Formats: sequence, C-alpha cells, structure tokens
Amino acid sequence: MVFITGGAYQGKREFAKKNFPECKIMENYQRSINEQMRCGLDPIEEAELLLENEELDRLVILCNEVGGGIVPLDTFERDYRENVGRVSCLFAEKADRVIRVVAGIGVTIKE
Amino acid sequence: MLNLVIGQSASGKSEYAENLARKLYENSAGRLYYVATMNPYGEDGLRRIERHRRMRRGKGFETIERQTDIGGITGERGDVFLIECMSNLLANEMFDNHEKEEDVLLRKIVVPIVKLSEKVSSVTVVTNDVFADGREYATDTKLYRKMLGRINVELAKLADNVVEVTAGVPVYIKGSEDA
Repeated sequence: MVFITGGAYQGKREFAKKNFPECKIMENYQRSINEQMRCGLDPIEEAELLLENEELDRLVILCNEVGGGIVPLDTFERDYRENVGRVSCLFAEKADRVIRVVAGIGVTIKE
Repeated sequence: MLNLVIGQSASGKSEYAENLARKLYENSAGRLYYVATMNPYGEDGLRRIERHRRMRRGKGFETIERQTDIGGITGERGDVFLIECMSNLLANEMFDNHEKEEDVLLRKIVVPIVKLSEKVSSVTVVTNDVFADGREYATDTKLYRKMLGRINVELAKLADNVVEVTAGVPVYIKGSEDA
C-alpha cells in the first residue's frame, strides 16, 4: 500500500493517478473519517478493517494533513483532527511507501 | 529561470529567498528587483512591511510596488526578480480587484510570471503554505486557499527549482540551489 499525505489543494490526486495508474486510489480519506465519526464508528477500527479487506498491493490511500493549525475549540473538530492524525500514522506504518505531496511534487518520506 | 520558495508564516522563507536572489544577481548582468505585493492593512501590516524593508536594506534591491496585475512588470535579459509574495498578490486580485474566476486568476498571475522568467535571468517567487490546518473555511477563504494551492502547483510544475523552508532551513524538493 502507498500512503500519500499533504496539505489541501496540493495536487495529491493528480500525482497518484499519474504515478500509480494501475492501483485503486482512495482519495480524501479524511472525509471518510469525518463520516465514520458522524455514524458513531471508531476511525481507527475502521482503518484496521480496511487494511484487512483491501488488496494492499494495489491500493493507494490519499489523506490530507489537517493538524497544522490551532487546536479547535469545537470538540468534534478536535476529535476529527486527532483521528485523522492517528489514522495517518497507522496507514503510514503499514504502508510500503509514504509520499508527501507539496505543490504537486511528491517527496518520499518512507520507503 | 524560475524558482519557487514555499514556507509557513515566519519560517524564514523571505530571508532565504532574498539571499538566493542576491546570489543569482552576482552571476547576472542585469538589475536586482524586489517586487513588493503587500497592501499595508493596519498597523501590523505596516510593521511587517517595515521589518522586510529593514531586512533587505543594503542588499541592493530596487523595490517595485505591485499589488495587482503582475503582468505589468517588464524586465531585461539579465535582470533578477524576487516576487514577495504570492499570498498577498492573490488576496489583492481576489478581494481588492474582486476577481473570482479560477482560470482568469491563473491567466493573470501564473502566465505573466512564467513569461517574465523566460525573458529575464531569473524570477524567484515566495509563496505560503496554508494548507494543513484541516479547517473548513467560508466561501471566499475556501476559494482563496484552493487558488493559492493551484497557483503553487502550476508554478512548481514549470519551475526549475522548488524549495521548502522550515525554521530557516531550505529543503529542495525540485532542482537544487546550484542548478
């Protein structure tokens, strides 16, 4: 599995399509985390389930970096940020390769 | 030559970009220009401008005030330009000039900068990293962030060198300082 992280609007999707055309690309994973939380699910458990059920050799997961600002006052926002960060750590740990995309340029930070 | 310098607020990106431009100027035959895009809003704006002026005093830059329409800038073959910075230029176009069309903004900003960089010795653009706070913003700010992201991607695509500055430390993610 390849995990691609980076800030919003950095061209992650374009980068993934171009570099991993043969893979299944799951984009905006931070949105899935948001939805899971709204449904009362635990994003860490959901992420573990996903890793068990997907064909990891052909999987690319894209997720925004969201932890670079002030801690939000709103509890949900705070938990969301925490979950996105923790799930990203989990994906990065399991990934064969981790790429951070900045201004459309992919920098491999783990291989 | 086109260089893109990316960094968060107060990351030391300006100082790095200024020194880079000066180094490029030493090996060029033209003039050294600092294109200041900031519109001085409020006291803190004026303070930041003053800080930047002090920082580049004695560094040999000729300052051009250009808050919108970057395409109006012309240069000669050997000239070295530093454009500081994209986040202000875009804000001025979107919120003072009320330009909200994505393609128009790209045409007004990216195209003339690339053209200028092809004519003169080098253009170095300073831009901001404001993309990792995970917040959802209201319409205008959302579009602004999206546009700044798109502009950064487009400029990086065409740039010879792209460097990310963190705590004053430059990391080249495309090209190199010696390129």
